[in-house]
Amino acid sequence: MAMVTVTLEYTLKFRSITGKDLEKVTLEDKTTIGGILELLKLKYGDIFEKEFANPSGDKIAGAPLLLLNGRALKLPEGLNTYINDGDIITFTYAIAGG
Amino acid sequence: MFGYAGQILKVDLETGKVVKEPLKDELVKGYIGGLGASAKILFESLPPMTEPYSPENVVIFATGPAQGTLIPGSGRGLFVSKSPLTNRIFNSNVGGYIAAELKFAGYDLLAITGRSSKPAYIAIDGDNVEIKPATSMWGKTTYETQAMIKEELGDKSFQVACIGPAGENLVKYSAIIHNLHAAGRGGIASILGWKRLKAIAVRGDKSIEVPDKDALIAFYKEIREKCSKHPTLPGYGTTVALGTINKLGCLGTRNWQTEVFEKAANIDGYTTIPKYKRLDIACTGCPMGCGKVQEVAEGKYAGALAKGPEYETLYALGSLVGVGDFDALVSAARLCDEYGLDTISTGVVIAWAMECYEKGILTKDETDGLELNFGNGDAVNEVIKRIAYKNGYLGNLLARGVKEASEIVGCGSQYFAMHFKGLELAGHSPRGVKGWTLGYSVGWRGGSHHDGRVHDIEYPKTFEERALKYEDKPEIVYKTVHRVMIEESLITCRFFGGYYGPLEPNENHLRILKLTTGFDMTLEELWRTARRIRTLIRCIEVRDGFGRKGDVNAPPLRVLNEPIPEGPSKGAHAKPSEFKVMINRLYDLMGWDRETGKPKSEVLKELGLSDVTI
Repeated sequence: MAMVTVTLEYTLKFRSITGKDLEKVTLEDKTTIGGILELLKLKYGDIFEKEFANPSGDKIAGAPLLLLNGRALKLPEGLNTYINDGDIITFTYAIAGG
Repeated sequence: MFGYAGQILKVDLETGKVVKEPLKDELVKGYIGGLGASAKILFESLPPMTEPYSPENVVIFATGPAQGTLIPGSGRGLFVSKSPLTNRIFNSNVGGYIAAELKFAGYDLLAITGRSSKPAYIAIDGDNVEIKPATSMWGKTTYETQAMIKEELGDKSFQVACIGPAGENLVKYSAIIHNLHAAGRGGIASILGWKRLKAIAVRGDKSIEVPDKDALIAFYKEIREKCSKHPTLPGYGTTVALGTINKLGCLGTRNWQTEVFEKAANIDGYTTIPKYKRLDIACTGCPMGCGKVQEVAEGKYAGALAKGPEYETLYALGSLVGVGDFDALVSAARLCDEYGLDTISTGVVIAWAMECYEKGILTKDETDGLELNFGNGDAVNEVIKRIAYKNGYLGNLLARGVKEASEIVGCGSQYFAMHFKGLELAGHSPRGVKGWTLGYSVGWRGGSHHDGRVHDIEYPKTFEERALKYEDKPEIVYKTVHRVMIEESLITCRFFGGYYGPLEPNENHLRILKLTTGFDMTLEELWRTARRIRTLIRCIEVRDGFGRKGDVNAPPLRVLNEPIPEGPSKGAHAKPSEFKVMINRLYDLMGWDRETGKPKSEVLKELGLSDVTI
């Protein structure tokens, strides 16, 4: 089975939870963004699922932001997006203020 | 009168006359306070086409019903006047403590007219108001001035807002500094400089009555709880916006030649806060506490300390001038605060000069010997000093603002003079965030990121929705503009937009109005009030000679003609054909004539402005 390697980028709360800024993971081809959230749930707990798959609370004041190669994914539809080799997936929050 | 101090204080610097007038019921019922009340006063008191630097021009320091109460995000006030950069009515918002203090002293608004024959400052100690000499302070920096006034008045609890050398020297984008906060935009500090007014000092001990203290306390606790869970502002302030906006490919870099900055990580709060943060600060009663004071501990900029620097400063004195050296950036921000300069305009003007230099339009002779290349942090620090004191050709040229400077230099440099309506462009991309092309263009201030305020809701969207789709932007801008009208009249901090906004006038604003004033307004009436305020401001613009032409010609040519060249938002730009459709649609929503840009007579009538002639 073909494999793809992607970079996961963590900021703010996600860095605190994972203890790292970046990690590279190698996954089966045909993995979706939602599938990655499942893996992260197993590894780090349900924060990723809570923020992106089943978001609750304020969507605007510092809304969770999931970027695929710098472009925001529309949630939840974007969770069905397939990853490609070399993709960068960023877990962050929309800016507030400024 | 709940929520208000009940008086307007008028000071004429020409005659020395001080007048206290009761705050009229019709003013607060029709315009709430803050920007709304100021617009009404300026409409009635400013002759058409008033010159910014003239005795007739009025500078208002305004509060709204939220100031001096427990409403979270109420630690702000507004300076309102005609801007020397735009020649339009302008409101510049400042945080800190002085707005609440003015109300504690017994006044909702302070209106300053005339011109003093000698440097002066206004000392307001409750009922006692004096115009005092400021000759000894003239030429001093903003921090020196604040300390000198507190020393002279013998009480550190006086809250002081003052100008620095830049304001005295009539630099067109000089800033009023209060504590570590700035009323930065629009150059109102230079109006004070022209009036020879160095500062305002305020102390008061009155309280603001509200109709139901328990309900207000419950509201405060509700919002405080939400603030405690906010993912970015309490811990990082606005400093981490830079990294996120860069990841989206929307960060103005090297004078907007691109929108991806390769050194963003060096200056993003995510990197710097753990190393540089010395202090957390908050405005009056604020449970968010977004102020982060960062200090350079070592190296040639050791000792440089600044609040933030906030996102807008990181953009303007960082990516926009290509500076990835955080130490140099903090020092530049500190210099702007000390001399009293708007960091946004300062950065935009310097970035334009750097592009001119790299393209050979400005030579080393014209930069007075400076190597003005992008990324040269030392040069940025040096240029700031020259601007504040108008030293040399370069200092004199850049002190005029980017619009005027580019008109003087010519050689095609107007193409990349990044301003809307004369106001240097803030750090939210009009190419990457399409709603901003419209928001800046139809904003009464131009390049301010608080007029259209679309990015709160646009950044979380997909690239296609944010940067390519244009059909929905007029409706969004229509709503956000009117939200800003209400929030600038109640005066609540935009950083609470996630809780009070984010899109349009709503039940949260009604709740704040009720909690502070006791007014029972319907949502329909709130909307009508917002429209009345915006329409009256538009009437002032029209009376001063600005209409559709000013809006249509507002975007910098680079924004209309040059797509973002690289990165995640590559290809995005505001196509002229789309821009025209957006403007026409927004005019229809506003009730403005498509040909002239004037509010239609039936709209004026509907909003109770029938007596307004333009």
